[in-house]
Amino acid sequence: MIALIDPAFFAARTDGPDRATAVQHDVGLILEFLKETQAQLVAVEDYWRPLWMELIRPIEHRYPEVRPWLTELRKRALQRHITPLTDVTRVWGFRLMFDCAALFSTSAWVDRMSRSVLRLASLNEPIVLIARPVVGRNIRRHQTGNIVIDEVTRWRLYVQPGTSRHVPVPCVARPRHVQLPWTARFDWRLPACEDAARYPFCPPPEWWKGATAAVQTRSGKPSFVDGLDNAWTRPNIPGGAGYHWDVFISKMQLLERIGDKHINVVAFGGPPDEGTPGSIHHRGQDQAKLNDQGWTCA
Amino acid sequence: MSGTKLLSVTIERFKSFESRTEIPLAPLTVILGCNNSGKSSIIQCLLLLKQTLAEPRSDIPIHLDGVVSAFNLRELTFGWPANGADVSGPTLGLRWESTIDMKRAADEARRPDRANLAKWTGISRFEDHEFWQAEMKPATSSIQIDTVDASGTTLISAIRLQSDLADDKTLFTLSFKEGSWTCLWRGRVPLDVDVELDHFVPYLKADLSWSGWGPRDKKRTWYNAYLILLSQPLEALKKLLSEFQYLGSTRHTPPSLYKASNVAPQEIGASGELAAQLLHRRGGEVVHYLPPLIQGSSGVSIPEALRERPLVDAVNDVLEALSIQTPLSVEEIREIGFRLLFGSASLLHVGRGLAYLLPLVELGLYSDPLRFLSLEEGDLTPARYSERCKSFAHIAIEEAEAHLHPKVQSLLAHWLVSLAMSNRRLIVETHSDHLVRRLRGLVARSGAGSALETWLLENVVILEVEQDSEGRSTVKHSKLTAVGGIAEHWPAGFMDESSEEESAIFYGGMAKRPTAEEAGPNAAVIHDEGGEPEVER
Repeated sequence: MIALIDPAFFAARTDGPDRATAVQHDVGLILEFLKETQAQLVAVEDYWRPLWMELIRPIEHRYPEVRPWLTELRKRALQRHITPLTDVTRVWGFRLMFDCAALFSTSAWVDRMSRSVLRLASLNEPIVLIARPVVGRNIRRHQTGNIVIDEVTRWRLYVQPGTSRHVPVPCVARPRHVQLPWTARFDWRLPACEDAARYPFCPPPEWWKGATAAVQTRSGKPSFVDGLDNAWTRPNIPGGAGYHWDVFISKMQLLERIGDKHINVVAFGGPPDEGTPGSIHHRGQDQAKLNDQGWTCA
Repeated sequence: MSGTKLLSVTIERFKSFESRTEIPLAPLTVILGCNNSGKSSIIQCLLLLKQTLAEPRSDIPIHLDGVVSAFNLRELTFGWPANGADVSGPTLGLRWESTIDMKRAADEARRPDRANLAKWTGISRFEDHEFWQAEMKPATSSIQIDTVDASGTTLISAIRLQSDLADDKTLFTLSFKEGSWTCLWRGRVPLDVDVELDHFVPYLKADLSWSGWGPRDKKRTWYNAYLILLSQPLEALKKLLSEFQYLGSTRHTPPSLYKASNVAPQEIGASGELAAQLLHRRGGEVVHYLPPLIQGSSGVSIPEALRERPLVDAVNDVLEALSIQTPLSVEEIREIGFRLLFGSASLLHVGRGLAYLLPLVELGLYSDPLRFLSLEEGDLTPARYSERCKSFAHIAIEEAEAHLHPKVQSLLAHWLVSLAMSNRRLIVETHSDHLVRRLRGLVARSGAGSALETWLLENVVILEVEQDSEGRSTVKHSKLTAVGGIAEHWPAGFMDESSEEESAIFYGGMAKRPTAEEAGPNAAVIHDEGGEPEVER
């Protein structure tokens, strides 16, 4: 698997000590992603050079303390010349991701990134973009009280070199997004069948299509909606804290089987003492009739 | 008393350390810092205590003549205070883990009434049946030694003893006043016992037959708390310090011909001066070692098993793994002595790096706690060896990289990790960018969640010693991160030089390469404004 880095990681942010910390944190996540997924960075000329010369070099100059992280990052990149394609090609999603005045001082990133992906596509290996979630660009934030749901608005880019097939490029940020591709569109903390969850989030069929709704407002709360029409929302806890999901069941048949329309399900990624992902986190006071039957996604 | 592990060193008013500083020690502790930052003080604290225990006269509390040498205690005291009647000297502290033989402890305390013991000591676990059931009880103990320079005479003014089995609170405070020792239980209540010192290691003694303490007397329970919780750990500490091995940053000049020693040395010598004699006397006897970590095209891995080899063969095996191909041999010269040969050249006439590397490799091998014992093949997996071995060697190495080629410096990291994985606890003081970089590289190259990654993340501690403009040293400690970073604190100044150069080369090279546009024509790209093509998946 080949990975590209979203230039947004190094684009406009307010200067100050927090910036160095943010860059260290982000590069740490990128390195962790590369290590866990064994993805390979390729230094494609179209974007690699401007990424370093225009965006990263000024950061390294201003904050020398981040240099060790940046050194590690550039060491991970494979220098490889790939002949540029000369066919007319179509691409989808690059404008939304890279023509973003709030992040970039030039719109050149649209072409740089699309040409990079096109070159890499000729290698016939899976490609991913390690993407920075940015509200207003690839994230739409829904907030009600303390409930915060970040809807991903761009989870895949596509390229079509010449007349060949479309190549999808998932926009990912965590290894889980590669292991379970639907989490790149929904939330990586949603429990999955693969976690041996008793109450898994079942991704809707055709979850990758834009026409499939991912977030809806149910009972006044923004929620991720799964393939069983269950609404998954974050607990109403300040700061988006909490290690569970509030799950609201709407289908009568499922409701009868489970015994209550609202259950609290352990999220993925929490501390072990919070429980197994996808199990009941805690019961409400009036949940005596809850049957611990669970469901499957098949 | 097996399994003794040194967990931390505490120093205060010692050399450039003014304030109390506890320095954690891991299986592999790497100390970094600029010249004259105070790095060596950490090892010197241990050497000072070791050389004191080696002094035959047990009434000398701190022996100032040895590897650590000073005219008087004030010379080792922060700020080098002026002479005076009573000048507070350094405080030295150690925390260590050892095991207590519970049967022996109970026998020494004359099988006390447990409920009564718990009642008067306030240590509720004494009443717990399970506490006494364990054959060997692990315990973490600590000692703090306050010193004083009394008109040029080095004295100990106070000693405090703690045990985690008593919630890490000070159990006994021993104070030296007006020529005699007093002992306080929990820092408050006097306990009438004799205090005897073997240098700085205290022994509390009470003759139970005439002390006037009845079997249920509270003072007797306090004394029993010492016998149960501290008596054996203090013995273990003495053994640990006595066997503590040290290799400094200089080497003695090897002679062309060695006179054979009639006794085998116990140590390698601070300058590696006994390395040849040790090889000559013990070269045919077996040692156990985990070969240096293996780096292949698919990453880095831990060798599957330890090796059992005669010492000379083991030295050659490890040297080869460190990229030294010339074989070492011991050549007997009848009735005269012996020569150490690398290939056909004597140690004196090979590169200086080999003379520096040989004692380091030999020390790692010789410190095998199961040296000279022949093991079954099944006992040579790392897990079985650790289970079988139970004890740990403690080794400090200064400037391990001295005179070594960068490649060998990097490979040293593989060897040090392998040593630390096989019951050697190492303190390594270094300026080597290559060594530290390789340690970071080992974690980065190890598989996510692999045994090696887990081990490195848990068992390597990076200490950075810094000194401020007023000459005060402080220590910051960090661990490695899974991606090869250093977690809490990046050592200031360390590796900056080379990474700055690397950056300059990187950006300079990039600026000279043609841009993508300059490189040639490219495809026409049509940006489809629709969100996505019609695709299946």
